[in-house]
Amino acid sequence: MDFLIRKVAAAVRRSCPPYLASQAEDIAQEVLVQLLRKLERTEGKATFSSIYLLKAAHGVTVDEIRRRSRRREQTGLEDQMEAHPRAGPDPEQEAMARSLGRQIRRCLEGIIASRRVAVTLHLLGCPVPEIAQRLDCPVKSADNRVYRGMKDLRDCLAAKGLTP
Amino acid sequence: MNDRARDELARLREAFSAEPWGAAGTDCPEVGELWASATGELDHQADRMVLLHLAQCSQCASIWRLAREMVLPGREEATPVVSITPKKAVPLMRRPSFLAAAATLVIGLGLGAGLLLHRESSAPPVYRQQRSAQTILAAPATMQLPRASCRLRWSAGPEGTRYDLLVTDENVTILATVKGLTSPDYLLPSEKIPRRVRKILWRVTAHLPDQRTVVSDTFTTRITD
Repeated sequence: MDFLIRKVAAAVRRSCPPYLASQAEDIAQEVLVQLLRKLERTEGKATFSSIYLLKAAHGVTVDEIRRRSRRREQTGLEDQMEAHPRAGPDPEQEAMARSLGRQIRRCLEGIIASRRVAVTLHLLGCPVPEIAQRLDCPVKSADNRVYRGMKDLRDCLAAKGLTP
Repeated sequence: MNDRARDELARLREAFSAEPWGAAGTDCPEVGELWASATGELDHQADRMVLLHLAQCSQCASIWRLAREMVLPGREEATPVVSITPKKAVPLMRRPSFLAAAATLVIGLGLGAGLLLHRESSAPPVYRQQRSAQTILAAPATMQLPRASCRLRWSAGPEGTRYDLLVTDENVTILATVKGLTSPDYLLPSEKIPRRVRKILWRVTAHLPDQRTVVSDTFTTRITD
């Protein structure tokens, strides 16, 4: 039992953003309950790989973040630290970032699909070799798509009077 | 990339994920599908559909990125969160929902999970904070391999390191166990990979010359024909 709890806790530590630290125990408990339900369904024959535990922790964490967001919307309470793991403490900067984000998405709509996917992965933090692997194309081709797609994005933002 | 370009990219990336989370839209993929995309489990066509959605949906993009960051080798925790130790878990057991599941645990663990505990008891889990330079990483090229030439590769330990390898399918059915490998790679015979298997999970245990043992994360490799 201790072993399983430690494994689940390690998985939750990877999924849990800092602002949910106080909920980490609850998230771990929910993951455990899900594992136990699976054990029950399989009459105790289920085994849990590390990747399975991470997936379970990810799902429960996402549910918790959405729950908190809904609560915030319903109560009208503004809590910037809850808004997003990467939310900054400055509301003005945060508002500007959101506005720029919306413009980025509008610009992406106008970029051809192959470049749009490459730029999206680039904006999500993927390095070019990983993008190439995901798009099943040579690295040079992926690099080219990212380069041209980012140029399209910059040109579109510039046309809207935005300079990132 | 110069400093200016780096700063610009950082601002664009931050803005791309700046929207707060809300309820999932009607056309949003399931969280499980986002996980599958982020961890490379989807086929290219399905993956492309998800990625096109991410271009338009900040929330799904955030969920996808969280999943990807969770499985990235070498990812450190951004900020310490509360420690969940067995001692802290005691009050957890008093909660109603846990008690409801506890009966299942007694039977369930007794019947089947004991196998898991027994199998892993000789290899204590390695947590992020305990990682050292000896962390084992899968070679990037092993994200996808052909069935006929499925050579698994990972980062090498010091000279004299011996490696044990465990390979399973998605249902954690063992396909191969190999002990005492002297090089950080193994060609998984195609006859060990049933035709139905499209993805394998594998884990390496390295026995270092100084008697220490290092256990890798579980890696995923997509199998192609």
